[in-house]
Amino acid sequence: MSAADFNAAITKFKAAVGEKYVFTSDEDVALYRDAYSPMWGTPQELLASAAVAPDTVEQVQAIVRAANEHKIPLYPISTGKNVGYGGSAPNLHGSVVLDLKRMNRILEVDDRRGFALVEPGVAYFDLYRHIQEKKLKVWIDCPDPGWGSLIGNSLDHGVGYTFGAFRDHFGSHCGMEVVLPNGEIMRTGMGALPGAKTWQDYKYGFGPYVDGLFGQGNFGIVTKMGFWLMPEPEAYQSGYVSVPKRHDIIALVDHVNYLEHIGLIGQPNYSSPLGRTQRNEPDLRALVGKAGGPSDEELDRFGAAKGIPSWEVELQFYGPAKTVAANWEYARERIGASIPGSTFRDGHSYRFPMTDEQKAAVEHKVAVGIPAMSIFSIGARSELNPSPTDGHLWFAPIIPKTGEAILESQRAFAKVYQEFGLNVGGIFQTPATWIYRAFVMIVGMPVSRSNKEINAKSMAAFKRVVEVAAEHGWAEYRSPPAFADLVADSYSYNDHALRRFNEQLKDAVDPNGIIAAGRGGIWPRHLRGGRKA
Amino acid sequence: MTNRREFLQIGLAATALPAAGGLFSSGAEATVAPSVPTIPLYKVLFDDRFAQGKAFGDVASNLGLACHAMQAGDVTDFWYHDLDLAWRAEPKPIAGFTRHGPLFVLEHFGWDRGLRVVFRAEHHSLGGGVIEHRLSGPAESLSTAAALIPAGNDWVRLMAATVTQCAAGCSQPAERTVVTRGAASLPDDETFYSWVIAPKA
Repeated sequence: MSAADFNAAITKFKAAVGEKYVFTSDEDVALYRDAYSPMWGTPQELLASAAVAPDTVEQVQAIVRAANEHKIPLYPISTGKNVGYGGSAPNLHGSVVLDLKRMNRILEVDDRRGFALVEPGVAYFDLYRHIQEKKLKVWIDCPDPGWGSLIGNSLDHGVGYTFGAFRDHFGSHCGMEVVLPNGEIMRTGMGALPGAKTWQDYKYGFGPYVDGLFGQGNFGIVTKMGFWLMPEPEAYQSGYVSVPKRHDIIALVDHVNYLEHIGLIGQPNYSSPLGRTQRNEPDLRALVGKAGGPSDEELDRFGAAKGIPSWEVELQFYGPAKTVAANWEYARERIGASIPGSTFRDGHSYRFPMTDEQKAAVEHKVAVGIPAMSIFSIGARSELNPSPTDGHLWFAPIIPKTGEAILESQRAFAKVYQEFGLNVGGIFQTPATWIYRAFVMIVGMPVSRSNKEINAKSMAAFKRVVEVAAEHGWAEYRSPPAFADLVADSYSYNDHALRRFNEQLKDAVDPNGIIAAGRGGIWPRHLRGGRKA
Repeated sequence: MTNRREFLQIGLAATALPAAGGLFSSGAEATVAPSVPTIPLYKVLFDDRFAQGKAFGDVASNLGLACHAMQAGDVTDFWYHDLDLAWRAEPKPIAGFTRHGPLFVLEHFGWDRGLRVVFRAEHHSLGGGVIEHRLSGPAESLSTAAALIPAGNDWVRLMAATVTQCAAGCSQPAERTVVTRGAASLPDDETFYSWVIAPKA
């Protein structure tokens, strides 16, 4: 990109959106840095060169056409709040951030058919407020924290906390409007039918389903997107199940999978009571820290002697009050008859709609569709979190939804973390369960702005643990930009056939490579470093 | 209630202020009154889980400012029920004494509405009552820094006074670092922030 081209493009961007919404000063452009970048302040940090914030789809089209004319790389963001996965910073250093936050219109919410149609700048808080103000009988499913964009989160394959069908935010979308790299507008699914009455009801339309190309991809700029919404239930009840032995996790996961896949529960939350006691049990810490680690039998003996269960799961029931109670009773009977020593206790119970006071008292708000920022209230410095102000890198590998995979991945990853001296993961780690049909053994590797050694260690560990995951048949579902290529490399079946296919598509629809170069590990031809498509 | 002018007259550079002796009861003269207009605050946020947060809130409240005590350090309630609505109408300055998380969140929310952190003081506990204060903001407001040194455990009240009368229209931000020594009052290796977020100049 020449200075002349850059300046000419900036002039055209200003003509399209107004001077006020084109940002070129160092102070303004700095706002698009990745606050959690492990490369902060180094020559390797991925930085934007400018930013432009359109208000309409026509303005997006004008920007894309100007970018094509001058071969300016654009990096579209919705609200840029996915800290830990790159925030607003581009994969390609020097890209112009296309900031869609001003396109924040809620175009439609239908609580009879259960959908919303929104623009990229609409945050979960915005849609929640709209639903509350209009007293609509639907819930949102939001990530934690809830400050991000519905579109941005779903396009990054973000996840939530209620029922499986809604927790998969990309999976629960229905219909897109996309500005293609040539500046044309395309609508997907039923939206391709002029005057369609079912754009947000039926995903597939007719012919190939192309929406997936725009998730973690760089084939266009999504300017509208529909989402299915969960009907407001009558009641919520949670219940806790504890099982005594380490290998009980295998049967427990199978039962919980059954309950979830048959539609009786929302997100199950696993934890390890035994693991939680490490802080107060020096003998357990010594056992865990011994050379080679403890055997499962040793841990079972310790737990039995202290009366501490190995595992616990919180089951969350939604629906009519009668069926919620019956489903919890069924879960207790089913698991109690199968796993010796399992114990049960009631959790929280709510009725809907709630008053503001009742909502304020809810401990885990996102489980009942209320967006929150409470996750940022955690942050005291600790061994686990040595630089709480400086962020973390999410390592988020997908493993099978089985107890065996939990036990195997705990030990496989713990070995790497131990090797690099990172106090994350370990043999009591339980999976994140946002994804409906798989587990995520996520950890946050520490980042520091003042201690470069911490960053170097985290980055080296990240690289190694990606390799270890791939050796086991596991891989990340999402990645900070700094590691996108590394992760994409691990998806290498048949000599990277998937990446080669994506690159062929990229060359066809975005020959100048102007949209989000490098996102999803997909680079335009001129930036592949000699690699052939 | 002490008004802002009286507060300044009572004296911000008070030394060794007794905790039970009321607000700046030793009566030293004001040394940090900015000579330029100050930022009119819409609201002051504080973390009342900590004695320092409560003290900060007390000072702001005594100055007649509207205050909000966060619930368990969580900004959600303040954001959803108050600030988001206020900022939709007009971006208004706010100040606070919090841990990093709430400041991080509000700073990012502010960016989207054309506001910036214009004053930031990082208070890092080095242990044993020793606290390092790293201040950045309008030069006029940083005159407080020298007064912090003898303030001992009352540094937080001095900071509250500083942020609640932060100089407006800062064109050349300055930085300064000082260390205070007092009774151990913050958890070791813990960091708090005093800050002002205001519309971009």
